[in-house]
Amino acid sequence: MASPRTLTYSLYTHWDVVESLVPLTRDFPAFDSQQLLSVIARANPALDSAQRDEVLRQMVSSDLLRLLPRGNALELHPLVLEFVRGLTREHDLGLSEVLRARVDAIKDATARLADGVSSNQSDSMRGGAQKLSELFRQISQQLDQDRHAILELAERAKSADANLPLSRRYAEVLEAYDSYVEPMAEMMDSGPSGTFYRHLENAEQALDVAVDTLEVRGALYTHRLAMRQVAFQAKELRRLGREVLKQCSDTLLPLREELRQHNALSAAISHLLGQVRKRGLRRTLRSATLPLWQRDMQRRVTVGNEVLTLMSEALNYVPDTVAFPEEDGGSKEPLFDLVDEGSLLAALRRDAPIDNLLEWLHRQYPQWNDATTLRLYHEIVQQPQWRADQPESPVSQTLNTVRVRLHPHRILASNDPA
Amino acid sequence: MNTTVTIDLNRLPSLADLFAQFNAGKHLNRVGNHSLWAELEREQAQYEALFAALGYALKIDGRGFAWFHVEESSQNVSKTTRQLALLLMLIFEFKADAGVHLAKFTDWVIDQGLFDALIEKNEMLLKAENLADVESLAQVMRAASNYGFATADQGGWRLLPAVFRYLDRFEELARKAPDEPGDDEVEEAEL
Repeated sequence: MASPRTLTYSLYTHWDVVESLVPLTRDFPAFDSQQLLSVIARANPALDSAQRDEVLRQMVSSDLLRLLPRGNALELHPLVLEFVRGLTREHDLGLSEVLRARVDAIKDATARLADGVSSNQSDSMRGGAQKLSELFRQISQQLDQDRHAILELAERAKSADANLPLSRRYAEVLEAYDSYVEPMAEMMDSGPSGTFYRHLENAEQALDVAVDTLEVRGALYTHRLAMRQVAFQAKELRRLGREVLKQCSDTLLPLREELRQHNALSAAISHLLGQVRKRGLRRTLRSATLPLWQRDMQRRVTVGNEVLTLMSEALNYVPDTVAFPEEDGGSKEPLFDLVDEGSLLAALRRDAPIDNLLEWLHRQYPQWNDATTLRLYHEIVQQPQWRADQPESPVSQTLNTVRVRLHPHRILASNDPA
Repeated sequence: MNTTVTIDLNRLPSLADLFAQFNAGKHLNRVGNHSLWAELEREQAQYEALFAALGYALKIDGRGFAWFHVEESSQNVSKTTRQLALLLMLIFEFKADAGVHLAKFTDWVIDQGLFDALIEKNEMLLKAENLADVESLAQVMRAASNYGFATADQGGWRLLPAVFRYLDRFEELARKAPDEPGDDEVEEAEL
């Protein structure tokens, strides 16, 4: 077995290699010489093969590396491992049971101190105080290491591959919360179930009484000072405990809640999808229960292309030129016919009977417009002074511009004797 | 006692933009529109008062989205919101089955590959809702994109924080008794 001085010196000399080896001990409890040589090469790239072998040999001979029984594997010296882990904050999370056992041990040490005070036995007092001091130191150390272990654990979970299943990513977090933070919170509860503060308080009181007793008794200053320092340690431990618990909870609780939220949401969605499969979407998710939004449609009326075409046509509208007929200045026909009704009636009376009144009128007054001829024809036949009749068969009568088909009135005689 | 609220319009240069967004039924997301969001957050009280006076209920969620809240909507919106709810549930179920962290949904890419996987896994369910083809699902995502629940990205879509509105409702609905009395009698009419 190497001496402590040699071991420490060797650790100093090969610190780079040991520092690289310590994180690897999480995955490999022991190493073979090839692994060790490659770690040495990585830590000291300048060394050649023979020098690397020499480094390995020195580390084994100084007991930094120890040969495992029943094999050729080498392991790091456990004390060195603990020491380096403590220095590099690579500690694993401690066991809450260990913490609990140490907290419980405070009670026994306090009882021993109180016994010493009451029975006035200096050795017992000193022994109790030393035991308390040792426990406070161990508990402080463990709390500090655990704090860093938990921070690292949370970092690992957060920085792990996002594609890893959530339960795997956060497995360590959940385990740490359930197996460490919760028991620790329970232990540090200020209520009757919490032991940490109760035991610490008792220890502080016992230490204060011991300091007073030593002063009254006029004990050595160094004894009184030692006792007072243990009392300070107790006070400091109370503060540290509170701080570590808060820090651990603050670190792990959000991650745990995140996982719980994930589980709550995925459970809710699975439940709803089950309902949709059974009952249909419309009956499971009513629109009123879902997010809604109002879309104010901007009703913009625009003119369609057809209307635009019409409008452009209207804009460029050029009326068709229609040629009006030339004024017929050459027509000699008078617009109005002068009719001497008296002579007409006299002639009619003279010529009666007349077989075809229209033909007679046209023959007698061929210069008249057809309209005048026809108008007079109708006036004459309606006058009661004429006896007239109409033949069965129609005849055609050609006038100046029109041809009329009619049953022509026949003037038989005038009823008027004059 | 009458109190007169003075709203300084000079401090609201993006009023027209914001109103146009909200009034079109869109959700404003912090990640999608930093400048508008910054102004909305800075002048939150003024905007709330102004929109309330106009008869709109502006809601701003601390997770980074805002919208005009309504209790009733048109048939078209009802149909869209229901289809989007179904698609989101299927996407989240798919991701949860893969062990992916659901709170990080804004990182997911919603693309044709995902649609194919969803259709393969939920063909019957999607067929019942006439959504069992990639184009129909893409149509739903396009609608989601129009209303600020997603944004087009690299030939697919990414979900935006406004999706939390759906996630909240899913949890709320699942917490309620699954079979409320008279639930089946009330059928919603749909075009």
